[in-house]
Amino acid sequence: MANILKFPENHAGTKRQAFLQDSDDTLHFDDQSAAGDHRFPLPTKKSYLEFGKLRAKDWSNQELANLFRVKRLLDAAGVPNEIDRGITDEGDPWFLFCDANGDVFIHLCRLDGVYVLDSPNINAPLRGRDFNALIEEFTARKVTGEAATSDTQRVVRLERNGKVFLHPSTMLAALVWTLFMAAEDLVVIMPEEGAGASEPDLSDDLVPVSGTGGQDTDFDPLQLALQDRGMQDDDATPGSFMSQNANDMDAFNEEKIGQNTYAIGLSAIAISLGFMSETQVTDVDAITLESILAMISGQDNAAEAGIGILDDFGLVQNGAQEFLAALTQFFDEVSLAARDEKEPGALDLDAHQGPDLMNQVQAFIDGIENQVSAFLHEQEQPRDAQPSVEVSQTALDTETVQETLAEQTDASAQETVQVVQMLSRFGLVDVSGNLETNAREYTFDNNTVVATFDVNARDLEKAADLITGSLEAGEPEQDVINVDLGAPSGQQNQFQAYDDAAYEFITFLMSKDNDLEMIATGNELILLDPEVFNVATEDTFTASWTLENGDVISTIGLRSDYEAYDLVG
Amino acid sequence: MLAELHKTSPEETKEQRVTLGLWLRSLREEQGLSQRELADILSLDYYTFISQLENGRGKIPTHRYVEWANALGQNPQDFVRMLLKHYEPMTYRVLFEDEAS
Repeated sequence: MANILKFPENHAGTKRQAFLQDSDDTLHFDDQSAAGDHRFPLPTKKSYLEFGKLRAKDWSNQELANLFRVKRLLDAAGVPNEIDRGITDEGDPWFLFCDANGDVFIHLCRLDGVYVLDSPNINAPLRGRDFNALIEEFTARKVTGEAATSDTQRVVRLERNGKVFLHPSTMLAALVWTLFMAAEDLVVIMPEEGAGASEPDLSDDLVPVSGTGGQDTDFDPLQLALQDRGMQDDDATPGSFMSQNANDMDAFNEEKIGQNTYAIGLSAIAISLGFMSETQVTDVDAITLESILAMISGQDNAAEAGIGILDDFGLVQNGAQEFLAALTQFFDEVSLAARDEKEPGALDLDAHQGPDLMNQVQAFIDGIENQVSAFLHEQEQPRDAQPSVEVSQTALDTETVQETLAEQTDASAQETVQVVQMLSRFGLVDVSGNLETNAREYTFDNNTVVATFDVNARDLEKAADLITGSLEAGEPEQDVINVDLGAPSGQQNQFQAYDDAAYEFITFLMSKDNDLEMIATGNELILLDPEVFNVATEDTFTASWTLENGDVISTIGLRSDYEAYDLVG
Repeated sequence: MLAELHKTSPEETKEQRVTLGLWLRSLREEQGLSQRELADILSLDYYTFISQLENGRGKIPTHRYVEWANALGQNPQDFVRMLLKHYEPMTYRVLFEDEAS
């Protein structure tokens, strides 16, 4: 007969659960001879109060929402992954992304308010106060590393005054995606979308094996990435992409292609953010559909690739719109995913994330649409005139693009001069040298302003408030900062005389690492620390100073900065 | 035969790692170390890695086995044998179970 377990008798006066806390209980390994007689007690008991303190440092709902959104994006992109999370004995939280075998691929934790992200694919952990900072550090390392290794490779990124603004979780997903994949692996992904198109330039070790392969054709880019790094177990997975016949790609069904739309979307984001690139694009403004496709395809030079790259992808003329439609679909589904998200532990997530994300996505899509339209417009004339001479046609296109860029640069230079002139009135020209004052003129509610960022495209109710002074109720406080220079909202609104203290503070703002944004309107110059977009409203502060001639300079930044300069009254 | 040995399933692997994680935690607590203190001894970049391991996720890097054994006050050979038992149970059986029987 089997042994019968006997529970201790519940004597009078003992706690009802006392039998669960018998200090004599020990766990034993079956084979203790192998490593000595190891016994270990049950985990140390903690009081509810202690648990409460530990849980207080755990991931917030907002953080979990972002992380689960990353997982949803990876799932949609066909990356087999699982997640896990926990807290340390001090309560610091960690979050893992694991591969299909359960091996940890991303370790993310928050220690003393600083996020730390580690992966086998990076030399040292990334650190940052928010996800954007992690991404910036990764991008900065790419720039530094690649500059050190090769002069011909450049990383292209859209700068803070560019036009692409994405939800942090989308960017984090792109970063995780990048770490899952190596940049060179991207060339293996793309042919699936353009089934039937010519094969891109594959390096020798990435040419698909032409055997029959396994019957299971599940797209599994992670297996490929791990295999390439020797992290995969010895018994190769039959479904890995490497073992597939390249000709079988036509057989991928709609579902697989649909999933791959996410892969392309993440790749496009990763490239536009500068996570990965093998090619050189001379100017940020020159980033177009063409250049992104060229980078994805692994072409050595985006300019030389010319419009032929669209042919390679089967995206001639209308095809470009198809690609755009795919991207649009990708972002639409991201928005839907955000709204439908009902992950464990994140049931009461903020309801405003959906609309907010959609705004950001719409801004991104608008930017892409503009680029595609401009590209197609430039493309039409040369194609009609010389349809058979691709080389000269490419040259024409390049010239057109260069001329357009030159015109834009001239216009931008003039408007930049306006900002610099405004700065000079406040004696700030000398310290503005390190700023990127790529100012443009924008019309905003019949007001013409010159700004270093797109006040129209950005989801900036903040910018609207800055200029119009209007406040709208019901806006999500995490994502929109209401700044009203003229209303008594607890912030310092009395315009003091511009003095040395103001000069010192503004000099400090300009010397911060992040790019200071500027808006010039009439006789007022507004300096905006981009960090305010990442913090809650109560952590921001504004101050204005005026010259004797009536010129006003206003600053919007982190409250802590103002406090450091004793400017918070 | 070795060629016919099946790979352990992810569930089995996870079970092995969880068991080992509990063992690692017990060793640390026997030494009177917090997770942060152990991470400091091992010069880890982030001490949450200790918590991760103790929760049955990930592996101790091979090149640091001896340092871990010393930090936890264990004989390196016995320590590594225990790791092998849970990280590579097949290998462990082939190497040591015949020897034991």
